[in-house]
Amino acid sequence: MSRKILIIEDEVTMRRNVALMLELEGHTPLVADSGLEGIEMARNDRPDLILCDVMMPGMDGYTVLGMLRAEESMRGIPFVFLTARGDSQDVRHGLELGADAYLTKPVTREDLLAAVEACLKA
Amino acid sequence: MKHRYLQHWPILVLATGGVARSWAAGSVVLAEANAVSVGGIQGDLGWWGGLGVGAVVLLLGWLALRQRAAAELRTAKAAVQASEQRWKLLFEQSPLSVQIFAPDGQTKLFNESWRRLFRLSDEQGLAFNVLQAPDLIESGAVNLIRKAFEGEVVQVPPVPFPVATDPPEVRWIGGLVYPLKNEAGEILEVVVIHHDITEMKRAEQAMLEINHTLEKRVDERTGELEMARAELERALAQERELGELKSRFVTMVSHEFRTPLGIIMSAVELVRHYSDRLPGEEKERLLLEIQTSTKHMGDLMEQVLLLGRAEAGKLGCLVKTLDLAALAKRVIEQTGSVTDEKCPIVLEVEDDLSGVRLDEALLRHILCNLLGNAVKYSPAGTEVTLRLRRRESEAVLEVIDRGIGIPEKDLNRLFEAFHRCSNVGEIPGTGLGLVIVKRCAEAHGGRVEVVSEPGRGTTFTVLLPLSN
Repeated sequence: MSRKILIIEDEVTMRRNVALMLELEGHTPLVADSGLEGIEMARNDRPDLILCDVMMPGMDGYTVLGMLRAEESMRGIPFVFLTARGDSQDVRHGLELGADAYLTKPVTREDLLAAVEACLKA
Repeated sequence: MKHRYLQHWPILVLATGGVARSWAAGSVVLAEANAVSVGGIQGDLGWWGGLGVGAVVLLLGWLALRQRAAAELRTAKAAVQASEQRWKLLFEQSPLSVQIFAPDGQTKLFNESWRRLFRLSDEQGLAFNVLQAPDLIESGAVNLIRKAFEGEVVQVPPVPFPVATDPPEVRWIGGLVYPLKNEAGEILEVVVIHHDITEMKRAEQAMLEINHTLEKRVDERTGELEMARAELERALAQERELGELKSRFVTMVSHEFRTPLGIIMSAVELVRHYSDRLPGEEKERLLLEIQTSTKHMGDLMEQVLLLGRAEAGKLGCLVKTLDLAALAKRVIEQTGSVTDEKCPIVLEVEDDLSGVRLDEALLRHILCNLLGNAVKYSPAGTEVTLRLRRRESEAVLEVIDRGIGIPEKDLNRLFEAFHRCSNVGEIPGTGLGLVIVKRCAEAHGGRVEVVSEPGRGTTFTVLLPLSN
């Protein structure tokens, strides 16, 4: 079943590749190049899953998660961090903020798809 | 000494005569009774005889009394003499300075200790009037002294008083002042016993000075310790900051490598798992991405290694003749490609720099880093300018942006390794770019200058000497 997956990532190549992979897996990727745009798209398009980078100019991924979790209608959307910040402290911080999963770049196809499937099933 | 009874001698004579006559009459009676002749005395003495005997007896008595009085007088005199000698000895030999004044304040007497203290001649001493002395009037001590002349025992506290030493000095002299009165309460003399506390005052002063010196030394030492402590704190803070910077560097480098690695991984995975479903140009794009990201990682690695060489003083400069404008164009294109043409980069060439002798590798590092930063820290779409010109024997490269600018507090530390400005927020960077620019410029014998205004933009100027 095709699910809408929102990808919030400022790095264009990464954004494009992830979107392509998810599309090839039968999902419908939506892309945003900033945290602000990502929140707007989340409100408007109600994705089934959000994949979000952490280090972005302007609003970072932690803030995006915080704002989405503050809105009742957004709280139920699974949220996965996909980021180059791979320190164990960063992972802990992201999960404590309420993320459903934390993926560190470079992420293999297997890990990415496994996380996506797990969150969509839940 | 006159016996008091002797003033009544006529009565005594008569009484003695009467007693003598009675005694004589009695003796005759006794003689008649015993039939003895008494010393030729015959018959009755009569009144004149009796008076004569009385007078003799009285004279004898008077002589006896007079002798006794004389003896008592001699004894008393001896006692007085002894007392005077004793007093004189004590007065003269006393270690205390003693001075005696008449009721009008004029000096009558003083002892040897007084002479040693005041160093005045006897004439000068005797000329001194305590109630008219200017120093005592000025110090107010005369008011207290006057009370002694009115009958009180007074303690005068030490006051500064000049003494006639050579050279003259001022000593601290006080005194106990005793009035000597007669039975009617009239002042006969006033005695003052001086006490000289000059040595004590000097010791006190010396102690104060020692204390002051010690306090000053303690203050100085405290100051030194404080400075040492502050220096130590600064060093510790620097050490801490360095630790934090290094930690941040590791995090930053990790992130900087992870990003291209992420791209490489995603591209490889797409080609591996979806190759049959991907159009050829898509595969081509992915392969190119792998190449670009690999190169990006290579560049980053080289930055780190370059910095390492620069820090170790091993950065060489290999000049060759090149066209600076042409090189600048190539770097501009590369930067545009790497940054997805985020900001237009305009090249302005004011002078002919086509045959200059510079180190190409160092120039690339300088231009890539400065242009990369200008784009990174500017809003998308804002123009970045690279201006090239010649000034005497220098090539001048200016990179001008209209970006976030550099806060003033960061300007001093701009070219420190790992340092990131306080306003970069989440904009990624290693904190190595500018230190590499500086090292490369210095390796060329040149320098870097910066002018910036937060919120308005920044201009970096690199000046490189041109060798022929």
